[in-house]
Amino acid sequence: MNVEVSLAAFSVAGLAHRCREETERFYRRLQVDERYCFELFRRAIRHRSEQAWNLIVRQYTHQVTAWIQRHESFAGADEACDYFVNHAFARFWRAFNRDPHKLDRFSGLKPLLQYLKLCAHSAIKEHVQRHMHPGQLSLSEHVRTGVPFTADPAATVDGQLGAERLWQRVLEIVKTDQERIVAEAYLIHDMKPREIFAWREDAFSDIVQVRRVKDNFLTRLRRDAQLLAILAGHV
Amino acid sequence: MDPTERKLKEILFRHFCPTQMDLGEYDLGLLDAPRRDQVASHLQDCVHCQQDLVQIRTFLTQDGPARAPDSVTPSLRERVKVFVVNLLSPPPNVLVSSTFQPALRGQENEMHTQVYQVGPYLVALSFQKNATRLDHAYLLGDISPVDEGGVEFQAWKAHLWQSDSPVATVPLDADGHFTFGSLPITDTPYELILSGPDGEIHLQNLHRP
Repeated sequence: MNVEVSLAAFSVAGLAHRCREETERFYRRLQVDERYCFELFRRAIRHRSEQAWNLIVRQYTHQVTAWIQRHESFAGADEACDYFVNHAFARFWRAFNRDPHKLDRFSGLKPLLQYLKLCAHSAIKEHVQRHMHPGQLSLSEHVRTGVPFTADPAATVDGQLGAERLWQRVLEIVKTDQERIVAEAYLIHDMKPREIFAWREDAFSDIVQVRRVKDNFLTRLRRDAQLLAILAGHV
Repeated sequence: MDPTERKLKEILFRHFCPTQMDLGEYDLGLLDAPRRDQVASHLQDCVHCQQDLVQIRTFLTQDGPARAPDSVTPSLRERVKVFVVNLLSPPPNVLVSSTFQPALRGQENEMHTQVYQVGPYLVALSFQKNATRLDHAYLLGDISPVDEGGVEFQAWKAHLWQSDSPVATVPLDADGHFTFGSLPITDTPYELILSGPDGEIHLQNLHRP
């Protein structure tokens, strides 16, 4: 007798066992039945099964570790691999915890694991960005992911509101389109005058003009009392 | 650099850029339309995000599907045949027999044995009390084909789980025998998974009778 067993009949333990077996088949280049692994994710996400989630973490920690070790930014990240592994899984969990129906957009295990890999990338990349430019991460990242940041004024909600106010003040100080372009390119994108000119050749006659606009604008910026007050409150 | 300028840049750098997750979800086609359009528009002008997107795409396709065949759902015939039985409420005729062998005089080795028919297999399970640790028992097992002949079980393994955690794994011998060493006798049931190249049996809610 060979009757197709419904996935609903499997316990979480049974699914984890089959998922592990099928993953072994994958590494041996055999044909794989990915339904069990996908069902394990479904139980974790839709049924909020902590046991299923723990087994997923156990199953895929090795894979996530390998991804992180092969990431081009990992060597310079100055943090242990486990740190990023934990953050990768935390991001994945938060993304689906906020929106369990997000799972409907995944056709199978492969795209789901792609998403887990994206979480690994995001964990490393944002860590590196944060340490290179401590103030630069946006409110959107903090609020959406809830990833705890190290103490950093611009990374707090208040800090981010301050950043919004700062930018609004900058826009109030600019007098021309050229100054607005330079403000955005220099302050937000960290572009050099040569790069600004290459980006918006239509707005400037040459690089010298870019530098002049930038110097004049920054001089006004440094003297703006309101801007300085917002900055002071940001500390 | 002037301190005011430095601080401004620290705070405002990439202030409007989408997150790495948004960039990745954009690439994977997971963003809803309004957010997707916002990101697409931002990407037209932001060199940093353009570079990030390239990095994301490279990373996500690294060690890609070329390593192994695409996962496809195998046909019924090709799949490992899996049988799942909940011993709390087994289907009719699954339990073939249940016997109790009392302890011999002066000994504590009473044994409860139950035999189940699961698909093409007969599985006999015996809990034998541990003479020296009365709150523990051995689990002895035996699997054989219903129709005699042809199956050797040395490639099979027996996996024991409890509360969704693996407890132990033991190999079967060629005759299908296996033994789990001293197991705590608790109210929490076990799950026994007998796993071989051609078949697998999941026995859920296994209790010492």
